[in-house]
Amino acid sequence: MLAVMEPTNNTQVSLTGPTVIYEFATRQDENSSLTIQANVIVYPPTSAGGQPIIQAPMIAIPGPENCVVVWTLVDGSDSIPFTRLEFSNDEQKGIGIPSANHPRMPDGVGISSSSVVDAAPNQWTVTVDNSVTAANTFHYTIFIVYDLGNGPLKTSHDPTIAVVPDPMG
Amino acid sequence: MATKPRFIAEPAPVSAGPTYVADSNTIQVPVFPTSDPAGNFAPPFVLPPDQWIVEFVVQQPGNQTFVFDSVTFDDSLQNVMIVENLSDQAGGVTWSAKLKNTVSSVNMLSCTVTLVSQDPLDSAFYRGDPTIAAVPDPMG
Repeated sequence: MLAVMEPTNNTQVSLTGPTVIYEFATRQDENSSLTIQANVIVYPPTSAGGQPIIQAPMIAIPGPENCVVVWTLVDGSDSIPFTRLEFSNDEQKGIGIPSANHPRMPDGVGISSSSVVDAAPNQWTVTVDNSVTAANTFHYTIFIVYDLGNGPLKTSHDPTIAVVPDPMG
Repeated sequence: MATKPRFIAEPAPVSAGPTYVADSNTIQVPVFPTSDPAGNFAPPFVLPPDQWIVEFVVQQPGNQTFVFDSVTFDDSLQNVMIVENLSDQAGGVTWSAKLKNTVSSVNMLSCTVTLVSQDPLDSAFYRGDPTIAAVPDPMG
């Protein structure tokens, strides 16, 4: 697995692997939210009837901060692309924090908004309010709808987020 | 709320994050010199379980050249072992250290990254302490 993020401007991000990008350069001031871009790579199943392989980046959320985390699903297929790759947006929301599989949330972590990005069903945004006093982690669930040409299917993945009490720097 | 860093090269350079090169168990972390008292700036990153090479890379601001003076880790953190951190990397624009993470619950590793300018008129030390969260959960 290769996760690549080379320092670059916002339009030249390499997407050969899962990436996490801290938008500190575009932040307006210290009172505005910090935006964190997380690119999730989705690879087609390696065998018929198998599940797609989902690779999510490891995100460390600094604090005390209100951070806007934007997940983007990226088609990692080499030859046959997904005909549909987007976040689930029915009873299962695209990013489940907390999710039924992982209801435990650390003290000092709150979610103040969670929604699909308008006109971009492969993007989901969550505002995480981090006021932890000690480092902690929690799991969340990514719910995906995909189609390889045979009709829509669902899958999910459970990565980890770290929340820390240190500001960026 | 954290203050926005004052980068030496203005306008502020770029957005950045760590790079995980899992094939070689390497984490590349950009380091940006700033004019803040804290000295330099790096994105926070997560140290997954097992052995990883952490490679700090200086991002040069404008026409001023910065090099590493030192990178030190707190070696008292249980279950994160500093396997190798060679001091002969001083003077270079990259600094690599080999860490082994065997934590069973999340913990933070203290680290101090010190840069110096190669401008003979600038003798200051530019220090920063990037956030490193050692976690028991593998990447994926």
